[in-house]
Amino acid sequence: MRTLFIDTAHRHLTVACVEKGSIVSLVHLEAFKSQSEKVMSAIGDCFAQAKWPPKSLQAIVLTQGPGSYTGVRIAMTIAKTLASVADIRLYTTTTLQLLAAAKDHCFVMLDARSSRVYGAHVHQGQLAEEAQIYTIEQVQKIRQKNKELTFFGDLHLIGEEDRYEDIEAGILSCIDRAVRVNDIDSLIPLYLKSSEAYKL
Amino acid sequence: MSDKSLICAIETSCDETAIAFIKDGNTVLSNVVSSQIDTHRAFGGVMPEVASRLHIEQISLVLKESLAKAKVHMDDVDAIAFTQGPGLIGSLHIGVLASKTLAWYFQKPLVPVHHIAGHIYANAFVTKLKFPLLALVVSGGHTELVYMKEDFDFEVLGTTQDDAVGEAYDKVARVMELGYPGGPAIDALAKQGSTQYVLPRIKTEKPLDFSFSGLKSAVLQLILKEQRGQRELNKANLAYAFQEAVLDELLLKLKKALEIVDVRQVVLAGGVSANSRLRERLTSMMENYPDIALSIPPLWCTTDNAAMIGAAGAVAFTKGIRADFSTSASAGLDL
Ligand SMILES: [Zn+2]
Repeated sequence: MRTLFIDTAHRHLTVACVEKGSIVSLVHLEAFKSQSEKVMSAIGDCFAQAKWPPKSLQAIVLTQGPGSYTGVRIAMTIAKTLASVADIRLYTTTTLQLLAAAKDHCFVMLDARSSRVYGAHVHQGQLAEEAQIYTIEQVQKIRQKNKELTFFGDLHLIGEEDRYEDIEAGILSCIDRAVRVNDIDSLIPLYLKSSEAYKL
Repeated sequence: MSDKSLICAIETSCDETAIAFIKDGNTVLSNVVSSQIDTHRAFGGVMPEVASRLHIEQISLVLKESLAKAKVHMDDVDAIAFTQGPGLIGSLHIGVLASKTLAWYFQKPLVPVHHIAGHIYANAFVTKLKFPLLALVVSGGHTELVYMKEDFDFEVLGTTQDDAVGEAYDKVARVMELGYPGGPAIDALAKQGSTQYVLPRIKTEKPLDFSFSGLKSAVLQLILKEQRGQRELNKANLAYAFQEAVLDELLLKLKKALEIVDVRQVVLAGGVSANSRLRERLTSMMENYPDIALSIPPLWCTTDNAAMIGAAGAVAFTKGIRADFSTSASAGLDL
């Protein structure tokens, strides 16, 4: 199945054409606050490189969040638009799964701003629980309690160097674990914070 | 003009998710608008993050419904026109991205449209625009006098120095406890009112600019004065006084502009053009200008919708105006 993978929720923009379990083409670049300007050209480039006509697309795997609110809506707008006009299947995964890739056992975290992170434990290659919001102190406590646990993601928030798994492994682990969306109209981002907090 | 074209138009600049299919620049095949007004009413105004969330919830439904109603296929479309700005950035992003996605998948040209151009070209559904023209643009976000020498040539002669006229209505409606949106509420209440209160007239530095914030403060002062004097406020009379003062300001500046530019047509545009008293007073004022045609947009095309973006987009398309994949939404886009 010709599958487009898209993640626009993080500082990096990730777009890949994937078929039969292997990555045919990939664009992975720094796109802080410029996801919406870069994403369509990235998709165009990926398809050109893969020599796929746009209409040969059969499925999209997208990260549903958590991450930047504006960011997650970018991939989702593309996916919902395409699924409205063509017979394209949608599957969702999470940004944390992408960062953790197929790591057996780890804690993965993503900047949620305001000294907080989106985080989750990973067991046997997948999220052991739903992503949650942690304060930096909470993450540091987890760090101190589990000295042998590997941490992945935006580690600069806890005073270490950022650490990301191999992006290709991340994409493939997401595709393996993605969940089919049956009703594309009710698909919404994983915000984790309620919009009440953004009243003004 | 009236070149043959089929335009798919997308507008998401504020709180309506809207997609339309427009044939030959002035025939509406479909015009689907999903309004968020009920949600924003609960907040007393448009909340940007909430608006973005509702757009992403609505976009696929609106697209499918609009396509089905138009009975066309995306392959038959000549171009995708979209509102590039101005507006709420998070809201604009959704429409811009949906447009780029369709343009990529179906290999169609992208035509960027300024939201105000859309409001002006809403008049194409009732008249053939005659240039040069002068547009009075009045909405929740804009109050502008726009001179157009020809198609898609815009010169802003005057603009508001503070609040937009629709914004002034909303704020005054809030202090008068009339709910949101304020325009229709004040317009309806003013019909039962008459001359009682006097509100000060506005002065602006530039003769064609507008200002409404002084008027809003004057309304507040008046309410407080009545409270202090323990007199019961006649809300209908206050609504009347406010509305007449706003319209005096709008029509005075329009008159001044007509002394400066020679035009064949005056067009009204924007959400506030639904105001019944504005329509009445503008029509009677324009009777003094027998050589200048007046166009007032149909009521269905006064508030934000995608049909108007399609009408403007059809003209922009034939003019060769294009966007590409790197084109981004612009919250403060200039006309
Ligand atoms: Zn508008």
